[in-house]
Amino acid sequence: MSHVPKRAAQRVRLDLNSPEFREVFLRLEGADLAQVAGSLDRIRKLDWSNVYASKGLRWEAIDHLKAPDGQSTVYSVRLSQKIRGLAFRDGEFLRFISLHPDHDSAYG
Amino acid sequence: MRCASSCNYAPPWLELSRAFAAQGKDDRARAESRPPASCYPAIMHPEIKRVGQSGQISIGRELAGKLLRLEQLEGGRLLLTPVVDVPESQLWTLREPHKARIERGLAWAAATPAKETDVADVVARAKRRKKR
Repeated sequence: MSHVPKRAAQRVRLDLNSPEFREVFLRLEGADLAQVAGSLDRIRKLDWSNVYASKGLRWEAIDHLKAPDGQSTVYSVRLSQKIRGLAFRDGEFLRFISLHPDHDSAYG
Repeated sequence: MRCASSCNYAPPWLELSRAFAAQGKDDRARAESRPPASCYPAIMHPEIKRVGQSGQISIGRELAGKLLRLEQLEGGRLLLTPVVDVPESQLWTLREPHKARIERGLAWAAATPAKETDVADVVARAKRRKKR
């Protein structure tokens, strides 16, 4: 994990409204859906002081991408064994922009 | 009309300048219709740099730490292009269909204010969709 910003403790508010996120999420099957939903629920209960340290999410800064503000880091977050999400911090929100199964044939 | 630096590139804006010049509408446009010294739009005045004994030149503090691709062109010219290096574990973000999804997701986020989602509601919708 790198480039983790240090800001005051604040509950993480999830923004999952991106059509790119929804399109894949709504097509997830049984175990994948359960795992992704579980990870999102776990993130929702965390605050910003410990979300990056949460085990299993494997935060990875994607340095070649920048959030719309041109500065904030975009992170890859492991939401299940097979599925990653891309997200960035926007104030108290964690905004997921897209959801990416490792093998796209199932949900691509 | 081609670039005078012999790279054989015809900048599209030259056609417009030439058309204005042909109509005698604008002296400046007429001047611009001459072949440019280089087809690369310059944003700084040329500077002369001497290469040091170890083969180094200084190109300014604002570029410190940047990764640059160096190409040697015809006529001994050198072209420096800023590039980024991407870890192997992140190459998937540059491949389709992921790349297009990410671009669309970022464009959507740029145009849409953040709004909290009820996770339970979204999960319930996904489950209902499965039952249909």
